[in-house]
Amino acid sequence: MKKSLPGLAIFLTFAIICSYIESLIPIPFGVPGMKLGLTNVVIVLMLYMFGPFEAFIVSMLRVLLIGFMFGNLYSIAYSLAGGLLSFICMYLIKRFGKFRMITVSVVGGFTHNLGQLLVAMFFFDTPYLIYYLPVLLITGVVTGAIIGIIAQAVYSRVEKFANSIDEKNQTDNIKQSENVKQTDSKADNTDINQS
Amino acid sequence: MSKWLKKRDIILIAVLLLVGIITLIIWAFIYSDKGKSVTIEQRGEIIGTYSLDKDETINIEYKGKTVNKIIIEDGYCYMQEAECPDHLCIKQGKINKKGQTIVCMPNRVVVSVTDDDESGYDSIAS
Repeated sequence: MKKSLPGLAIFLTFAIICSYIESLIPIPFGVPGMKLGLTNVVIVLMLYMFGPFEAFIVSMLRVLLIGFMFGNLYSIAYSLAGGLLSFICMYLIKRFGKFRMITVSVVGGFTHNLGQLLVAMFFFDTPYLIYYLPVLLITGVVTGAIIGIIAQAVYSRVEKFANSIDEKNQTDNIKQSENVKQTDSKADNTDINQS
Repeated sequence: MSKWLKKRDIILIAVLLLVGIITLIIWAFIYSDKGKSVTIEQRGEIIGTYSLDKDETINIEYKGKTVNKIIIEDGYCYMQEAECPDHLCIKQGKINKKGQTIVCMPNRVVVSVTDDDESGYDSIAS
């Protein structure tokens, strides 16, 4: 599924749908910045199915699109900060290679809430917001675990399908490159003949 | 199970959770003193400081409209009404400990409990 534009578009749509569903779920606790982070399912899946570059592009695009549709300039700033920090940390943890998807997602949830809070403190210009740090850190771990379980469940079902598409693409690519090589060598021959 | 989590995964998750719980405990110690007054900020500017001992209703206005209604009652402070979509600030409940905060993100109103003395910016209060 690597580097296919329709694939990326479909995943971006998934991300936006997830965040719409999330906006329909009321939050029972009065903690600013607290949410389930359902959209992160898509980002975690993309890290595994596409790679860091594609996941990053979709992550940033969904923050902007969702921000313009449901939020305001400030909510874009918070989400962008949280999204960037959590993406970098998830990528590093994944690249380290020794941790499972759930852990990657937990780290993402933890750092997302941390980044969001720091930027909110900067924008509000008040240190008082730090009061919510412990609650946000714990909820980040818990929601991250839930998101990780969902992502892992989806991934183990989609994995085979994705791999089969990848293999098909690879064989196609190999065939194409072989064709190119053949035509190249023919061209070389004609060049030599001409000279 | 090993497909989902390995030992080192559980350790890392436990460490992160522990960091959260430790900060929670530290915070519980930091925010245990009762405060004397509340300071209200709107868009980075301090609107006023109000004593917690005196019952009062403070209306926060923006562009001629009342956006937030803050009530001080029986030594506690809480947000009663807010002109915002999510009403998170109302759900944040009553506060009276030093450092506790109510935030209204959309209206950029911050209410925090402090030890400061009351100051006169009573033009907005009603």
